[in-house]
Amino acid sequence: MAGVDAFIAAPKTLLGVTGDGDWQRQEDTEGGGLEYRIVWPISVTGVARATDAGASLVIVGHPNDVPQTWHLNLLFGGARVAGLDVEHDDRPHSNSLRRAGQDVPYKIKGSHAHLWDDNKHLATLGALPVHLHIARLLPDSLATNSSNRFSRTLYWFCEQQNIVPPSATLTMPPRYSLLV
Amino acid sequence: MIDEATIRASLEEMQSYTRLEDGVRVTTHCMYPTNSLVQVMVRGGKEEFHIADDGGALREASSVGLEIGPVKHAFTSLVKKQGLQVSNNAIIAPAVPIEGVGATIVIVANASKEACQWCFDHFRYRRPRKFKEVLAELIDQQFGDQAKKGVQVLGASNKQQVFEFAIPRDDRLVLIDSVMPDPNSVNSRIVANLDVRNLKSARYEQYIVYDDQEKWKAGDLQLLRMAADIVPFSSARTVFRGIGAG
Repeated sequence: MAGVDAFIAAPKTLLGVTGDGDWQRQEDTEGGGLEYRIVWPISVTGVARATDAGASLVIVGHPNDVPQTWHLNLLFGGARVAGLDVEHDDRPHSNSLRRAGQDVPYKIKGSHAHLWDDNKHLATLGALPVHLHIARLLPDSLATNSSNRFSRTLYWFCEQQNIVPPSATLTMPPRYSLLV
Repeated sequence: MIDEATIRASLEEMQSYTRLEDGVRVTTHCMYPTNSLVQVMVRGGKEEFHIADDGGALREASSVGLEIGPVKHAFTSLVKKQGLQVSNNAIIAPAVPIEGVGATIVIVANASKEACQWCFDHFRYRRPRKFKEVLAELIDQQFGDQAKKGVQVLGASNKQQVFEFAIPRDDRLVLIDSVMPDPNSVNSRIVANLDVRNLKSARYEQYIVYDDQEKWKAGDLQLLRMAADIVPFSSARTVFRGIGAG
């Protein structure tokens, strides 16, 4: 767990960022191509070490959702250690009762963030949490749908995780037709 | 004492019914392993209703970054006992009349939850390798200070070609490069290595190491092979041991 604390606290950079061309359509086994992904490896304090090889920011986008939805995932040590989910407003998330009602609400509807500090109590001596059960609503500034909401959530999440945000402007992929 | 209306109101806050173009999205009380609530779609007319999770189980697992593999066979065996089917990664119920809608929503939602749990039990997060750094570490382990970095060699074209690593061995110089599965990387490594190979000098021994965890086009590997000996990373340690012995 201390390793994750140090990882989150350390300044980090994303490797291989070029822009919207980084999106890759995921071809599922039945050819649905239901989502797009970006995987950026992460370098810690400018020294890319093999031991950090699992560190990455994985973005999953669903451009055909109305409105569009996406998920930002900070991976480290083979686990998701922080995340941000832009969801439909009617999608609830229940917070674990180990924290709900204290400083986080019992339930959240819509987009939310899973922060390491809120979830690290779920780690054990030998294992990182499989799920980040505690979520918080996004700040009001990120709550509204607008054309640049994707890049604003990405920047906010990077700042929260001490990651230098990408200098390129990123947008969600355009909607695609299933009738190709 | 609390009354049932208050409890009902609290529980109903969790549920929702959202009308979409082709049906109604229902938020159920069933919960995925992530603690997000399961949603199902209800479509249909006056007599028959079609209820499905629209791929929600797979999507929930995929959204957190898991590397997803084939699921149809596993999902089918999980849900068939409830009379459900799997199509395009979605769990779907056979058409039911209006009196079966509520019960079917519950069955589909619970099946979706089980299928999502199966994904978490069987899929992992992909660990992207920083390939160049991993290779550098391996070379450092194997050759230590003997490995020179960024070595220039004058090619047959009279142009200086740069190689990532060079290891002197008696009167030979072992040149090692890494290559990534993109056209720029492939082309530049082919040009540099061919230029030196065209010297037809016994002094140079050339290797190009590629990450065999990545997807490669067979044609690219063929072209690289024309320029140097190509080594999959998974075999690099063995190959380098041979160089060390030489």
